[in-house]
Amino acid sequence: MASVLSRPNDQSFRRPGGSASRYSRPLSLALIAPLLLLLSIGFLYPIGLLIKLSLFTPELDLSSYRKIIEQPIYLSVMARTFKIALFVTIASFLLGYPVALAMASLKRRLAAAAAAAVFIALWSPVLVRSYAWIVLLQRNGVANNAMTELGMVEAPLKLIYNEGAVIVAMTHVLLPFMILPIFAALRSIPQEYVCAARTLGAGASTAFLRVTLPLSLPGVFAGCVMCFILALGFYITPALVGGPGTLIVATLIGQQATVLLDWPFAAALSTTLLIATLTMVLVFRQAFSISKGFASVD
Amino acid sequence: MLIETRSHRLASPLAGSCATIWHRPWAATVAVLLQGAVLALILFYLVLPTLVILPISLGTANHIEFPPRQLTLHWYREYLSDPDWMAATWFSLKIALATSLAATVIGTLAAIALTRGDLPGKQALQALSLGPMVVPHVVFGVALYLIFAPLELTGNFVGFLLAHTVLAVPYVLITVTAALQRFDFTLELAALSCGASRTRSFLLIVLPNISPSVAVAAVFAFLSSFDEATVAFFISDTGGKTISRKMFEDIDFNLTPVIAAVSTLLAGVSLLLMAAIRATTRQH
Amino acid sequence: MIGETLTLQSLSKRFGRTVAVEDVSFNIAPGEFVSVLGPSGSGKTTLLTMIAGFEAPSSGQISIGGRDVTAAAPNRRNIGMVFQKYALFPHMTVHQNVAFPLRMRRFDRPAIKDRVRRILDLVQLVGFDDRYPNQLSGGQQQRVAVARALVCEPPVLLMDEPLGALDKNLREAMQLEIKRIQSKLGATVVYVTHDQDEAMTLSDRVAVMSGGTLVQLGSPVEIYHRPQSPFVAQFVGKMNFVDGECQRDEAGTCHIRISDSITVAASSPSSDGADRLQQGQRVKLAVRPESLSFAQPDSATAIPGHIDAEIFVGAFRLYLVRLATIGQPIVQIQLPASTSVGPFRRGESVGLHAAKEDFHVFAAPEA
Ligand SMILES: Nc1ncnc2c1ncn2[C@@H]1O[C@H](COP(=O)(O)OP(=O)(O)OP(=O)(O)O)[C@@H](O)[C@H]1O
Ligand SMILES: [Mg+2]
Repeated sequence: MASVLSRPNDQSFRRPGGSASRYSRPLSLALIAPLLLLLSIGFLYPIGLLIKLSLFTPELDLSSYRKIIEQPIYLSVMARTFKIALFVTIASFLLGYPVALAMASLKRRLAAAAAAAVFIALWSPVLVRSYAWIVLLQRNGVANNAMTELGMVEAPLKLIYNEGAVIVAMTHVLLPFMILPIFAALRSIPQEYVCAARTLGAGASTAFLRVTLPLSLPGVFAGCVMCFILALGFYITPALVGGPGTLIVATLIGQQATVLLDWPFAAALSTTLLIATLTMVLVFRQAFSISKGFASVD
Repeated sequence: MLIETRSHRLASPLAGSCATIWHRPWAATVAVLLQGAVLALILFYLVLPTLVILPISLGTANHIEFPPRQLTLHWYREYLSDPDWMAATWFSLKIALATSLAATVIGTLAAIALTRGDLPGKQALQALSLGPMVVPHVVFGVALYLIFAPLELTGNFVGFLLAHTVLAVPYVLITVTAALQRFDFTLELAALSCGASRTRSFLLIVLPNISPSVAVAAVFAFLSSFDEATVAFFISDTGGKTISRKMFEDIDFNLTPVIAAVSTLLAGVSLLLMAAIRATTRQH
Repeated sequence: MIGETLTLQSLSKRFGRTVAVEDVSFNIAPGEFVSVLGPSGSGKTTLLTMIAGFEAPSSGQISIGGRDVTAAAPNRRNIGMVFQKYALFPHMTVHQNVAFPLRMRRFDRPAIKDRVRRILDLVQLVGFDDRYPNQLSGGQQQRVAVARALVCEPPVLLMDEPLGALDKNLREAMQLEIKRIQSKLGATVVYVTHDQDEAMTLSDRVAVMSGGTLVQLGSPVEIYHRPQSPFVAQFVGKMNFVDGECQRDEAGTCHIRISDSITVAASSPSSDGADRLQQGQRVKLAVRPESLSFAQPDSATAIPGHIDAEIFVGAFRLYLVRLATIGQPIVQIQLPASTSVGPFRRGESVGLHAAKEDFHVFAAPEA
């Protein structure tokens, strides 16, 4: 490394217009080469192969894609995927906004409590949290036990392996990705704005609706985009908490690949999901610059 | 008249520094209580899953029992004495450490090139390097299985290292890039004008100043591998599986409180590492 | 004496389509202190970064002590540099910061210790060895930066607005300090500033830059009293400008007519261009406020005008006078506070007078 770093460097001074504040082209290429190698072998190649498999068997063959469009069951899986992603996004917004407000609050104890809760949720492994939801929601789980003991219900309810359970658990997993961008947006609003609105005669709720909320919208936008995209491709939680009736694209891919071993079909589904995700990312890439640094889970 | 104009400053939990001024005391109280209750419920929802596993892991019953009637460390002992769990744990640890090392080195070098280097198509390179964060993990897992299976790389250390390094590199890139952007590069020019070579000014001036962030990046990379479950689900096999894959299987087939014990340990490791990072970065 | 000659030969630097520095040449003698003075964006920093080797020139040559260093890496040039914001290494103590250049040049331990002690003594920072930069005041940090730049006794020392971040009093104290250290060590110094007083106080010669070009290089006295262009005239010190036109008499001497009835004889040395002026050519007549004085309004050599304002500025009095000449410009007259003229009423008629050699004549730019 020492020789790589020092040798090409002198060239940047010899070249007219070269500059010491930038590393020379050969050195920069040498520095980024390991990453490019890694991503070519470990990322682009497998994904490329997957896309190829969905299209060629070995001749061009679109039957897998046709299957997705023509069989109502798969169309309904697609629809459910979007529906669940949408519900999770809405639920995350409704639950996340108050938490973000509390985190941005100037009352230190309140802000600290909210931040601690978000911290615990964010950094508990997804698998652990999904497991915890099983423990909470299953037939003889914590929730049912508590309710029967309190006499709220006669017999244990079926709380798990349905869409509701998937939405509750996924919302929990994705909530921090909603809260953090909103919090970042809220924190950047100068307090004087709110005070100014109040002194101009706005009530607390008017000040909130006219000042705080509009100014935090970039954060809300970023959080929603983030949640929706992550929810679309989510695997672990729906696989554990969901049941046969809650198949979404990700779990369908898993099922096709590991149980039914229909690889071309799994590949076609994967490609579809990939394209949907990438399209969203491209369309909403603005949102990612705002929420830079909060990465994906799952 | 008097009562009407008397205002009450009550601490609404969601109000900013401009204390909310209510003209009707009872309305204020109700609103504050309501807001507080809603917020408390949401925060409870956030922490509940993490907090519920600890008591369950300490229960005596064979099934899930809450709250536990007696406390025992039985399930932790069970975990420690089970060769399958132990094998999975070591496998995961080995992978996570190697991933952390590989991703930190590769990611840091790339971050330097991307922030300070002279590269063609920088924007495209940046987008590509964040790609693994955007692609759904299930897609990536299936794709990897596709190339690993014929090469017998499933359940293999090298296969996992490759997969997890790809997934961890974006975290390192983001963290180290942020540090490099904060770093005042005139310090590097100063070092050069003091007679230091490019290498020495990097090692003696740049590196010490970004090393806290590099360390944080290494922890991120470690955790992203150690806690990774989706890709591990696809590229594990009976010969080699990570702790998350083993958990995933057991959740599906024999849901014993051992899983609660393992979960508690996993969450404990993550939370402690992250808390340590926060505590140290706060100081600077 | 450690200083060496620094020679720049038609140095240019372009960033894409911006020309930051254009065709700058000069020669600095060993131990000479040269300030580079110019408005913001005139290319001062760019010039310095090229000498330091941080940016390669687009064309031209740089040599130090006769050695061509145009293509040398910054670390091979043996140049000391003080940055505007000091650029002290935050993770090193004062001692480690100052010792850094010595370590890079592989001095042995006792030598490092000895040299660091001597230089810290020189900048009066003995006892601060173990402090970190963030534990020092601005002035102390600045002195550490100077010490670090000087500890290797570099033949050439570059400073880019090193006092820019200090308040006025500290700034003035540090100016004297820098001058003292420099004359003690004898280094050749290029000192960038946009503060003309600072440039005047410190320098043997001042280089005035504008729009990337070197417009005048000369001693402070030359720059002040013999500006070669209206730009230098108005950039350094205060200057009044009056429009006029050249009129030659039978002997061919150029007089400047500034209104139908007023003609001024100008023989300022900086107006040697006056010989080349043609009959009837439009010119700018320049005169410094302190060169003007009041005369009888009706005297033959006086320029008539009316008092517009009178301002007391402590050490001197400032009068604003509207001239009865082309365009009715307002000129400033600066007199010592002790002078007993006036008080004037607003609008009162006065006459202005200046010695022949205090008028500067510049050809007016083509309209
Ligand atoms: N790296 C660069 N890329 C493009 N243009 C540049 C660069 N550095 C300087 N310039 C341009 O070159 C010109 C001269 O800049 P320079 O920094 O040398 O001015 P300066 O005299 O030091 O000004 P100041 O007094 O504000 O420091 C400016 O127009 C500036 O915009
Ligand atoms: Mg500058």
